[in-house]
Amino acid sequence: MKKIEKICINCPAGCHLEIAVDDNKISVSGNRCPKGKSYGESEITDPRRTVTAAVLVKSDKRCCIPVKSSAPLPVKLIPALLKKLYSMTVGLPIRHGDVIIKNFSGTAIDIIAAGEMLNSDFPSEKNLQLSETELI
Amino acid sequence: MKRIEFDTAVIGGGAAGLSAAAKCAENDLKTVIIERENRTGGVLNQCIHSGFGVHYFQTELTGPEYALRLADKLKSSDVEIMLGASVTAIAENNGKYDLTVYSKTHGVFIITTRTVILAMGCRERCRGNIGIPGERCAGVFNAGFAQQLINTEGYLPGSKAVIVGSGDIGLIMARRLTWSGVKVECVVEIMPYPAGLSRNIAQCLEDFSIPLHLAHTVTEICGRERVEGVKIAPLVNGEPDLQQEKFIACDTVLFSVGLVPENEIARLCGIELDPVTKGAKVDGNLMTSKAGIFACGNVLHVHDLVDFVSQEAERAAVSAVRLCKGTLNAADDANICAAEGVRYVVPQKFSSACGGKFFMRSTFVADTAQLTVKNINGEVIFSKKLHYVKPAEMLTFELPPINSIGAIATLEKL
Ligand SMILES: Cc1cc2nc3c(=O)[nH]c(=O)nc-3n(C[C@H](O)[C@H](O)[C@H](O)COP(=O)(O)OP(=O)(O)OC[C@H]3O[C@@H](n4cnc5c(N)ncnc54)[C@H](O)[C@@H]3O)c2cc1C
Ligand code: SF4
Repeated sequence: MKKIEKICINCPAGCHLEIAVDDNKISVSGNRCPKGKSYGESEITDPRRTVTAAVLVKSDKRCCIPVKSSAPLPVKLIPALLKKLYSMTVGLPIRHGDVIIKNFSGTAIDIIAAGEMLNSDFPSEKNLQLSETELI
Repeated sequence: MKRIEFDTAVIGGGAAGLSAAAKCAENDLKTVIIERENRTGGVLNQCIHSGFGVHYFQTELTGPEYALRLADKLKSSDVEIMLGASVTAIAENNGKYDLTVYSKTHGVFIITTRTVILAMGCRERCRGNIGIPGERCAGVFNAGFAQQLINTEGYLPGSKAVIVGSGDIGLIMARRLTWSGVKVECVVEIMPYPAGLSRNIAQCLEDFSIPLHLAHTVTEICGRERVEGVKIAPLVNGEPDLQQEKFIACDTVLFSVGLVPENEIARLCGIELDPVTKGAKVDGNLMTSKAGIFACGNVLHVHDLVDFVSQEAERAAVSAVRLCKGTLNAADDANICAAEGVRYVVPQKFSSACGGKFFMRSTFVADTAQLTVKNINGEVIFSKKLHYVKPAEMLTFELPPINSIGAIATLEKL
């Protein structure tokens, strides 16, 4: 039997997991909730991570749009994805959830915009208008 | 000079400012947010990693997504948002406050307001603050600034890096640098334990086999034009042991050595500050020593979780609403202070008749620890067992009403 210690990364509690691997049986202890159990199991069978990155935007001002994988991606595919993301550019406007890369490497996982940029001046908020009547 | 009136003015449009303003507007206060940058969100905009909102929105978001959700709440409200505008002074004026504002689009003007919510966040401590010797060459960055360069502007700071400090920003940056193709040689931490969250040690260092040198310090930064390397040495009895000094070649050094609340304007207007948190001293309503001025988020004390920032901001906002409506119960007569094992407790004052909710930080690392709160007669009024205690993780507790004007909190390793 092999024992592996891992820290669950699913929430800030960071439970210290002890994962026991016995031929084809995996048992997890130390988790404070069910998410820790499935995390411990997947760390042995199919480790995955959510990937986030910043992709350059086509604009006269140098800026990036944050992106993320729509679900945790198999760890071994991450380097290829990052290489692609850090060498591409995207056009504006971009809204939250817009698909940047569809079905990455046949995983059915998309890379989506995790932010909003309508133009390179950022603000999509209404800015205060100082009207003359408001002046005391 | 131009002058506009509001019920409440929120200084800073980060997580704290946005959360506070939404709550004020919900309660019909005429509210303005004054934000120095060209967009709201504050530090969240550069924290593109995932791990925000697990408590507050019950789902895991990235920093910009958390900021978007807060901004969306404001879209349907009447909150005025002034971007590219800085508050440079707060002055008392007949029971109200005058804020001096410098705006890119409107020049200088005054905002007169009944209540002020301080939400200015914090700034990074730098190499100078911790006195690291060596050359003044290019390639030395604050970790948060490097994060901004990479994540919002798409610039890489170098090709081979050493990170000083194992706080969350340092750890997150170790992964970001690795993911963007920069080799991270190691992380150097002066304390015998890591400063950041365990999950960040796991997913930012262990995933990439980046060495973490605990109880080590940087003894020299070497290089003329550009960093060529750093010398590090282990601490023996609190002093670097130069016998064991070693050289690590790199072209970039990132400092992640703590944050300091941005309280310049609060200090200038005479608000009493806590020497430990470097934030304002507040009561149970999160009101500072100036009636009508409240504080929340990183400007009050440095938070590791944005969820707590939002909760704290709403608490400050509710107090501002009550003050405007004349229903604020300001009977905070009791003090609470930190003793053995406790670095600080916020708020510093509370009501003995109602008890209160507190944030605190420990001074040590332990699997289990016992929190004890005594009144000034030495009687135990509250105790609680806590698990996985470390200085990096904020702890919370709630006190019942007490029959005393003072309480003392201690934390003991079990
Ligand atoms: C690198 C990093 C990683 C983090 N990771 C996580 C994580 O994984 N999970 C998590 O939950 N939390 C995390 N946090 C913590 C959390 O994000 C912060 O505590 C929170 O966002 C702080 O919000 P704030 O509003 O207090 O401060 P800020 O976001 O700093 O906002 C302050 C705002 O005030 C403005 N301002 C300052 N002074 C003035 C002035 N005089 N006039 C006008 N405007 C002014 C600034 O421009 C800024 O926009 C992280 C923090 C950092 C720095
Ligand atoms: S096991 Fe559950 S509680 Fe523990 S870190 Fe994982 S998700 Fe959080």
